[in-house]
Amino acid sequence: MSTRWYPLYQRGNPQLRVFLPNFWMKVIKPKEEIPPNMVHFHVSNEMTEYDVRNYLTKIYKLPVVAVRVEMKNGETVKTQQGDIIKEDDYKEAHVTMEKGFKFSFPEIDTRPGYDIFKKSSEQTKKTMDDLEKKYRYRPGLPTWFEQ
Amino acid sequence: MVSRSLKYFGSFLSLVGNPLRSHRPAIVSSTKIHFTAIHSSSLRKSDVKEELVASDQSQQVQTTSSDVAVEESSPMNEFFEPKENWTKGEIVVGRSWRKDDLRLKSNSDLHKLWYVLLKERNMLLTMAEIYKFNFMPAPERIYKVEESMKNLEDVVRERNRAYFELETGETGERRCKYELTRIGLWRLHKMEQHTIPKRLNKKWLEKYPQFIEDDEQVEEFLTLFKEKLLRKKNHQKVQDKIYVQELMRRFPNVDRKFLQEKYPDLDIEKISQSRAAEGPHIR
Repeated sequence: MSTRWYPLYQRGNPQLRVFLPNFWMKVIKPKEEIPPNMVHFHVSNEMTEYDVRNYLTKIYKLPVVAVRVEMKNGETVKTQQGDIIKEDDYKEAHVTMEKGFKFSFPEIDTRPGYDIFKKSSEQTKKTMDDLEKKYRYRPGLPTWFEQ
Repeated sequence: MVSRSLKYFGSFLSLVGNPLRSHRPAIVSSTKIHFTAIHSSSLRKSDVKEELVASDQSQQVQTTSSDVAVEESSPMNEFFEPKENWTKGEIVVGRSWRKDDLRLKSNSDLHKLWYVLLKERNMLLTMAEIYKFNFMPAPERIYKVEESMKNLEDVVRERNRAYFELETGETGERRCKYELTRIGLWRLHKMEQHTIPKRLNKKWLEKYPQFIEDDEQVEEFLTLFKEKLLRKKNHQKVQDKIYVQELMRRFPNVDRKFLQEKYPDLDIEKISQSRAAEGPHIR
């Protein structure tokens, strides 16, 4: 329970341990070219460098050598309604692994479900057109009359 | 328990942005997925999976991707979805873990399951980042994982509380108390442990001034605040009265007892005899 309430540690007490950590980490695509033994992460804002190192070595069994974290400002963007808002701040972690480690961000198709979406949108458009045709404005005609 | 329909996360889906799935529940094939406990898409290690199968889960989990794990056994692969699912537009998954399922598990099992869920959530978050401006296949998985994590935590908390009540007579929860703030309002204070007691910490007291008795400014503020609340209450009372009058005008046979229960501050009989509550009907 790493981001939850935690008892105070005083010297001589048994070491405090985190049994159910609730930090999250996600791998991101680096903006610049980086060496193959480096990985960039977005992490929970509460995480420290030690946390990142322990998280990766203990849970994922990764050979971590060095960690650097930095806080980044969220961008100010304009919404569709025209309001200017600031996005949330986030923490970025730059992790270097051992020398033999190799990782490159995989190239994944960013819209695998696009065909299904296109098909369904076409179908909805077709049904709407049919309905419009059926109930178009024709004064004088009785309702039971179909063309 | 099992035959209940799947939890429907439609209202939250607009945040992730998948118009495809936002207006319909998760797709379920006839018998298989009713029994799957959690997202089979990313359970790589078969040994963990066998332990975590639910008790009534006699049937097989639908998909497993052991081939991918064998080919590239880099631990970084756990941050991404298995390669088979990269091109899939639709991914079918089971329901989240419920409290009733989790209560049957031992503590060590729950501890293992927590890490499975944690890894699953990390994987889903990375995938959501990749599909940021497009449609993510089955985005409801994120909510399912978070729900099951919440349930797991609740179950652990239940056991903790039972143990502490037996041993110490107290719940092991964080202690709370109501406290007066500087401006004289009550608030719930969640207590914390400190090396220096609160009242001796001069620096802290300078930063966060405490409540002082018989303070003129506080009393002035409180009288004004109470007046504001009273005005609000009276205004609401008038609004309610107008609403009840309108109801009686439209529906002369409306249930008086029910109205009295709903608006205990109002005198319903008096309102019913008033001129304003009289409709176009003959009395």
